[in-house]
Amino acid sequence: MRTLLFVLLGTALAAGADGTLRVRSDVPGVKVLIDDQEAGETPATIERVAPGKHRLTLIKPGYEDHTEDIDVKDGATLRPFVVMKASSASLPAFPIQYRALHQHRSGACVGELTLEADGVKFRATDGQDNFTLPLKEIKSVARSAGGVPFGFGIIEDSIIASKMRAKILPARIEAPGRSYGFWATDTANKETDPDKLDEVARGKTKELFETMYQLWSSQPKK
Amino acid sequence: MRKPLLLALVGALLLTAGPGLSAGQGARPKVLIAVQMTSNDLTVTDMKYRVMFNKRETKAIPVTNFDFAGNFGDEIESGLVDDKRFQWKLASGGDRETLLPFFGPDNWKKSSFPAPAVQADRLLLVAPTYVALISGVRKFVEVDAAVRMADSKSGRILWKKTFRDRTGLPDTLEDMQAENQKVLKETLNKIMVEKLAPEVKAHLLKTS
Repeated sequence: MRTLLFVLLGTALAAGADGTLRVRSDVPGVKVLIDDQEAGETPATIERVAPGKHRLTLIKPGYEDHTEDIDVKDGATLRPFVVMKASSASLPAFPIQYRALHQHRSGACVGELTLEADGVKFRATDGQDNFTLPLKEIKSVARSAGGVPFGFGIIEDSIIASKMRAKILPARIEAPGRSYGFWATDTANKETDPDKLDEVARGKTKELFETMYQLWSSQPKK
Repeated sequence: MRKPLLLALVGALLLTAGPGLSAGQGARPKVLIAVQMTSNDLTVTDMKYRVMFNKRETKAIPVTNFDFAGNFGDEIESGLVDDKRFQWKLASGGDRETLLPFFGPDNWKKSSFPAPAVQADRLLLVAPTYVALISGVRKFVEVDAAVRMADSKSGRILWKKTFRDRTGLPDTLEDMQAENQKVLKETLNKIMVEKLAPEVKAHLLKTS
């Protein structure tokens, strides 16, 4: 009986001695260091981590190093999840210009859209529609055809918007009181007729949206 | 005194020896796990209520630089290491490339797949998507995971199920996207780790 007790005690002590770390990050392949010792790449499961305080460091080129103190408990699994912060060098060089269509309730106008480090500027070719949107005032950047009314059967839409909804979703910016939709085309494209929207470059609109979104979402929280 | 101490050490060694000594590991049927996002967009339904009429807007917000599929697959695989019935393995390299076409719109809705050239007895295919709803009374973000278990030799779908788990928005959607979508990614990861992955694992352990 005493022998059995000793065996059970030994196994129990062994079972509760170490902790486990499951380290995850938003981007894959981030190098994981525990107390400055390499421990793998994310997603990483590190077993037999001695209980107590440790320093967790995550490193990946193009991102700022992330360091935090963790406390590993006996027999427990800790699951740190880290969103790596892209270094500022990953943003493109501004200003960037696009030849763009600005979506109206009915129709669209053509002009030059400029992305700058602190905002977005649009200048219509005919000079009738010019505006500037400071980055700090933008509430949302998404791809959307715009709000569709429901409830009373009113269709707040135009032939152009309904055509584009089927082909290319515009890049849409929301600011207080108003929202703006844009499609981009090649700067060398001479086509200005908004009715010929099947010639608008799908790729340029995607590029415009991705650059605008990257600029906006890299801002600190308000 | 020496003999009991020796026995205690032997017991401890046996426990910590790891899976190498577990019996019959090689005999267990192998299940290959593949997780693939069909879209990296968060689809947001934004409801706005006005005096004369209401508006519904559907927005696509890209969740950028987020290996949700990799983290989810790793979570499922690591949660099933103790399953005595099957050997669960996350597909990588060539196996993963072979399975990717099954997630395409032409194949996903079929009742059977063409038998793939992989070394596995079964295939577990998981396709997560992100959705969100913002309205006056409800605001949540949700992760849906469509799961298929298929027989690898015949390609026949053995069972399929969709899991859905959600959580309220911890902040405004605007602030959740700041600083490289930090809070948005943390929220999606939390849904996966605390709700979705445990549900999927529990279902896998219950079914065959």
